[in-house]
Amino acid sequence: MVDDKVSRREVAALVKWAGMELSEAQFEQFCEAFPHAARMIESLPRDRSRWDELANVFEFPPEDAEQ
Amino acid sequence: MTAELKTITIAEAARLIEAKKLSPVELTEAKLALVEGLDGQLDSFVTLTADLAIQKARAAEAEIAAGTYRGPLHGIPFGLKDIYNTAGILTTAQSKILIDHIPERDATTTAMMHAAGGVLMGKLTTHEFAHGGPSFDLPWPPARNPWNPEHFTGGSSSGSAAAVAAGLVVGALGSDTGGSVRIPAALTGIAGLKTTQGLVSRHGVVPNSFTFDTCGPMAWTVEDCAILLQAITGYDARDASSAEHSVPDYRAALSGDIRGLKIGVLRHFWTDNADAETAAAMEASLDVLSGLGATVEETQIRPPQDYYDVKIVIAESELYATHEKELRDRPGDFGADFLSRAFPACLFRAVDYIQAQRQQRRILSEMRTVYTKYDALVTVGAAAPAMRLDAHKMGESWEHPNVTTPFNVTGGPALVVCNGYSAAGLPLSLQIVGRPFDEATVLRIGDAYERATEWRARRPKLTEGAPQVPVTPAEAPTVAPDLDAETTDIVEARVVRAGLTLDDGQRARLYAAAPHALAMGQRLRGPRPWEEAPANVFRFPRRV
Repeated sequence: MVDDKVSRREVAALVKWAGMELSEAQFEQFCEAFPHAARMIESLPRDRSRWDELANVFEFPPEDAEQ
Repeated sequence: MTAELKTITIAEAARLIEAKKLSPVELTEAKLALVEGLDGQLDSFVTLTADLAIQKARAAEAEIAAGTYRGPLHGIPFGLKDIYNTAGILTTAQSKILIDHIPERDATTTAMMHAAGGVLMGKLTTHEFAHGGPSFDLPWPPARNPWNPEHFTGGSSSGSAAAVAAGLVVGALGSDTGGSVRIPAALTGIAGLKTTQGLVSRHGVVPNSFTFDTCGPMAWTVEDCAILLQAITGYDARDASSAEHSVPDYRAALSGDIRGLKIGVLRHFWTDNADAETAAAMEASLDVLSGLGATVEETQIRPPQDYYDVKIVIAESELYATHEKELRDRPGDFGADFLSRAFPACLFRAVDYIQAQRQQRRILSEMRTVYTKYDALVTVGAAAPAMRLDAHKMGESWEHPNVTTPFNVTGGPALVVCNGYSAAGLPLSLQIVGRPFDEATVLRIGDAYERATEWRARRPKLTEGAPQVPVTPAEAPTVAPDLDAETTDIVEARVVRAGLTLDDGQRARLYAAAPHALAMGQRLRGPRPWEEAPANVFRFPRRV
């Protein structure tokens, strides 16, 4: 649950940024989920080699690749 | 012979070397002497590997004398943008972050150039991590334009372009993520090819954007680009995005005959933003192509901003991810210009990144109609001749799209050739764009254009041993613009969440870019059909 003023302001900014208009109940729900989402994001390893590739890579659609 | 060696092309030198009328050692020594005489004015080299070059040239000479001629790059002095890994040789990406980075292994393309018998002269100046610039606050200075050293080379393959234009190397490799081969080629009057995504391995080349990075040749002529391309093309299982595709004989495609080809003209790329000399050169180029027997007619694709939004959202997000740890922990070790481009990526959401990839897929699909109708497209290579180095405005890249980025998004080949000179003696340029994997056609058109015009006869006029012209770069902006409360809240929330610690100047430049970055994300929101997939798809890593 987000209860400090700074984080609630952050959530409000994120919601506006995403173009969403939330009811009070939805906003509270968002505030409740927010720390969990933030923890997931923070738990992703950041200390990785610059050579680590993405799992999803650019690929021409087959029609283009065959030309 | 020594005077001729200053401006010799790969094709000319190869013919003489094969006939044993030119020694690779003599050629390499001539080039090293030219570097000694001119590079103090141009700063095109980060690392000169003179001893290695002589050693390689001697080995090439011995091999050729013994009857083993490897092909047209055997004994040819070349340079590599300083993002190509070179075993045992400093590879810095022009950044303090990699100031002592000595790779254990060559990039695939480096190894291919060695296998072709090329003589590595050294590592060439770039913008920091092939991004941003020109920067005067890095461990090495920016390259200068040989046509006027007070002017910008363009970038990021800035040293590759300067060294080729000045004749310090006979050919070079650059990389192109949003125009980094083509813009410097355009501004220094050489030929430069952005290759089809996946055609040339990027394994062992310091990444800028995983999605958009391409490696490509830069040389005085299109024919030389074809020779270089032949040597570096091929499938590489170590590059996740490498395409398995047949490789034609690019040089053999240079017939000089473009009769019957249908060429679409993207006039809307230059009518509103090009200067008068650039526009006039384009009109004259269209006449040349028509005169050579091509059918030239006006067509339109989307405006450049549409492609720019896709590229910037994807590429800056990837760049940010690559450098995230250093951006948090040691931002002061990057140059200010790099940071002015990288930091605003903290404003892109994961959703924006995905929408940009879905938009790229849509754009690829739209291009199929264009490819059916035209063999190639043409437009300007740059909207104006090279600006003065002191006119560079940090952060400007967020404000306006360029004319090269669209073809990083469409993904096929795009070649820049010189199509004249301004009254001030600075090069102008023509860009030729092709279907994915159809490098042969764009090279054929570019070569025919070069043969039909006299632009290759003119060279920069530099005096060996002259001092470098001083340049005072413009001050980086340090005062944040006023933003509305909502935008300020978003920016501050993202800075905190991203764990960034910004000084006043960095915050000012982030604030200046923020409205542009946020608008890019907004424009990509759709609507779009749910089944529209991203251009990047999951692929299991291949076994190497």
